[in-house]
Amino acid sequence: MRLNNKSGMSLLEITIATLILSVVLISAGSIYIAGIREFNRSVEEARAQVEASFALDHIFLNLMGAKDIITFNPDNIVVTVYDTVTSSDKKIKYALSNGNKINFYPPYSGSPGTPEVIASADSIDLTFARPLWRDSLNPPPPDGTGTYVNNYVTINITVTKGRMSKTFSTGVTLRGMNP
Amino acid sequence: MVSRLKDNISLTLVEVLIAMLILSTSAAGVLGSFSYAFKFILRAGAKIEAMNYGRKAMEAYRALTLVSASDPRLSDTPAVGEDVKGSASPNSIDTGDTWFSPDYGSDVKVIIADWANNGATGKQISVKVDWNAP
Repeated sequence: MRLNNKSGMSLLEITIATLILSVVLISAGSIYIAGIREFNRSVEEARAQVEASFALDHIFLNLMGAKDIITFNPDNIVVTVYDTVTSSDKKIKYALSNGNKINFYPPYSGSPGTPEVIASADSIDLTFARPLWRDSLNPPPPDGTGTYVNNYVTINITVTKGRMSKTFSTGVTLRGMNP
Repeated sequence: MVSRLKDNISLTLVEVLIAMLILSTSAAGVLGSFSYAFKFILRAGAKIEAMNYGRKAMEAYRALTLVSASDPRLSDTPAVGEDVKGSASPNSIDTGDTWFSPDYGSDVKVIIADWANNGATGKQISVKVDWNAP
């Protein structure tokens, strides 16, 4: 060992060693912090995607059993459903809120109650449409005199979170409604 | 180490290259794990997207059945395995590819065949959705 060596290390050597150690520690710490940030960001993006998928299924399953469409707009819809709890017809509503949330209004009779947020992200685009022609040979105006199928509704949800943007689209036929 | 500092021998080029190779391998592994996690999210999203397009097509054909069972879009002619979108054939429910899946690059194909069982007749509708895994 060098315990009896009187020469020791010079100040310059200790300073250089400290600097090198600092650089190594800072580099390791940076990778660690970047890893945690990347992990959190991935979790948030996955969560937004799952919520959008959940909202799509939520809307799909509730519209499937609907009996009628009361209000139809590009970013909100009100339909009549049969409430098995009260054995009566009730209304439910889906609406886009502030461009970053999808609200679900549980069964109500008069005015909608407090909504439940079923999806949220940095930004969300929710679109309802009824694009299916009733007669394939006769398009709706202005190209023809045909009409659209009333009980087929398409649902588009585009969710954006961080660097991730994803669009989910599906369609549903309202089983209890005349076409 | 101290003795190494005091002598005149420095690191050789081979030593530096080996050290850099080890460091690069470690860093690539860490960065690769980030990339893999993000790709996994994209892949899951693409699969859900494809499944929803399949459901969208099936529901459209159900709606057409409720309007009229003789709708030409429910016919198995002229082609089996027709693309749901973009085609002007009677099987296409979105002839102009304007609403079904304008941003979806892969195919959504349908096969409609007559079906019969113990005297009961109907239509069997099969939808196949191709999806590109990121």
